[in-house]
Amino acid sequence: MSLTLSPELLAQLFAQESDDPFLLLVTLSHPDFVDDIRLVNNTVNIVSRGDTFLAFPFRTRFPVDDGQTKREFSIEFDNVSLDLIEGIRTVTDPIDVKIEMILASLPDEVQMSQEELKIRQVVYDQNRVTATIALDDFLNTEMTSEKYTPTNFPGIF
Amino acid sequence: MAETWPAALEDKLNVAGFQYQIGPTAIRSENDVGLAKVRRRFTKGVDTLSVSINLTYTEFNDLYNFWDVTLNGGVNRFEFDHPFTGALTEFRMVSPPRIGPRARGGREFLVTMEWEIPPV
Repeated sequence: MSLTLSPELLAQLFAQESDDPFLLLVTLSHPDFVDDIRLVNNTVNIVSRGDTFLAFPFRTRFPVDDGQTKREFSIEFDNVSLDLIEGIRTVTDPIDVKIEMILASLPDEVQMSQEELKIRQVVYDQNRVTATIALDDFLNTEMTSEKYTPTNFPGIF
Repeated sequence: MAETWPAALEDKLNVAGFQYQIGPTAIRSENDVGLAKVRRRFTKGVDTLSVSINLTYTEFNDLYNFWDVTLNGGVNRFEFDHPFTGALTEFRMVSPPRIGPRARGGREFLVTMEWEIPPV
């Protein structure tokens, strides 16, 4: 994640009263989607770099960045309108997620971003869709085609 | 597309019980000591209104159908004159209308409603 914060964001973070909303842009992508799903946790739509992000209620809590905690978090989307669930149910493999943070006054300047995220799991009920998102999953990625089995490496067993 | 307010129903709101709440857009921190920090969270808030109109026996079906059919149980928006600016504004009902007798009784009833103004 880029940690270079703009002077405008730093001013908002340190101010006693910050008057510029810090908004989260979420982009969901999948080859089966007709178009990317772009959402913003605001009450009105936001146009950023030519793309319209639809005002949509959701909340998220990022993982602790301490190098030990599992780098996984969840986003809870509102499901009352059933807008999202129709698209999510059509796919069976992971959905790509991009998260960007902007100041409402500078919608074209991304303050922080995280790409190459994957939705690993989705659970939903009538009220909300909860998507579990993995930042990276290198611990579960196979390094080689060889497996340490008794057949291949009998000496270590 | 917002629905049209029924011509059969009163198009002026009662003064009694009227309230207009400007939607919050900021959060404040809770501290034991010191001035709270305040941060704006949204670019626009959702304003809410508590309103009421009078209703007669003959207007009951108009109100019921407007809520149940036209507004689809509160899902659809409708247009009404903004109580302060007078401009035609989109509203949405927060909850079903409540109907009760007027204070003096008789053949008129009081319909109380909670409305909200979707931000644009």
